[in-house]
Amino acid sequence: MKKRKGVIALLAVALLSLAVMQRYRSTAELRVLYAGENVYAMFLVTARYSCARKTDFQDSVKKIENLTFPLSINHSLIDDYEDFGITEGKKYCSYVIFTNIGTSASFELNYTYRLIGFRNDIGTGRITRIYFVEAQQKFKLPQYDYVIVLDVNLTPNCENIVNGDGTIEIPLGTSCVLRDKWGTEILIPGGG
Amino acid sequence: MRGVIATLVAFIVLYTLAYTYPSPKTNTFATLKEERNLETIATWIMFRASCNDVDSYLEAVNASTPLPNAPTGAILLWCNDTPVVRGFSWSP
Repeated sequence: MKKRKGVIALLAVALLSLAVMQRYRSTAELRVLYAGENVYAMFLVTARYSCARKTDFQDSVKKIENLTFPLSINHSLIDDYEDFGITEGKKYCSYVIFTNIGTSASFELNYTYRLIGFRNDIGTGRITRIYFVEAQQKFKLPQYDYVIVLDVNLTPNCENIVNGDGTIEIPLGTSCVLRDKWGTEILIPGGG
Repeated sequence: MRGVIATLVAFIVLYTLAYTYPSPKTNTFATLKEERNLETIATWIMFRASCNDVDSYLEAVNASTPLPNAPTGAILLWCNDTPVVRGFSWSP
């Protein structure tokens, strides 16, 4: 009887030990999987640059291929359009890259504005247009199962009032360019 | 018999402790982890920084200019249509 107790205790200790080591190992292994994300990031910031400057993505990638070696791009799907009107407008870029090792990463840029009203300043008689502006960049790396979302600040180049709630007021009849710090621009036309 | 079991238990317990005890980073595995840290930092900076404000981002993560005998990472920026590489050192 005593013998059996001893064996059970021994087994319990061994199992606990295995459990502890297993847990330790699995958390440690998870971390190593992130290796290489900086190379994907290099591709994605290049995509953002191409989107901002409207340059050819393949040419830009060629300029950095000695940095990203041995990872390279097999093919990429690029969607890039802009449409700016008085009541609403949009700048959209989507770059999905497929690498030589079968992984994929993507960059998406979505800047929109929408006219939500006018404001008449009774004191000065000045009329401003109020726009609701949204600007986001999304990055998807193969190492993560979620998308990294970046809210972007846009700087207007015209006379303006920026409100804290995501709206901007610009004078009636003046066009305005909103620019992010990487050079991507959206244009709100002045109209007639 | 008792002595044998006691020895076995002691061995298992000590082995587990030795296996999981936080040790100085000297093995290959630690090097991999250090690389991961550098890459994660580099990615974070690359996504957020532009050519003009990259210094403030490097400062924010306590990165220094590349130092000898320290892990070194690199970030890519596009300045005036040219790819620019900035190296940095970082220690935990």
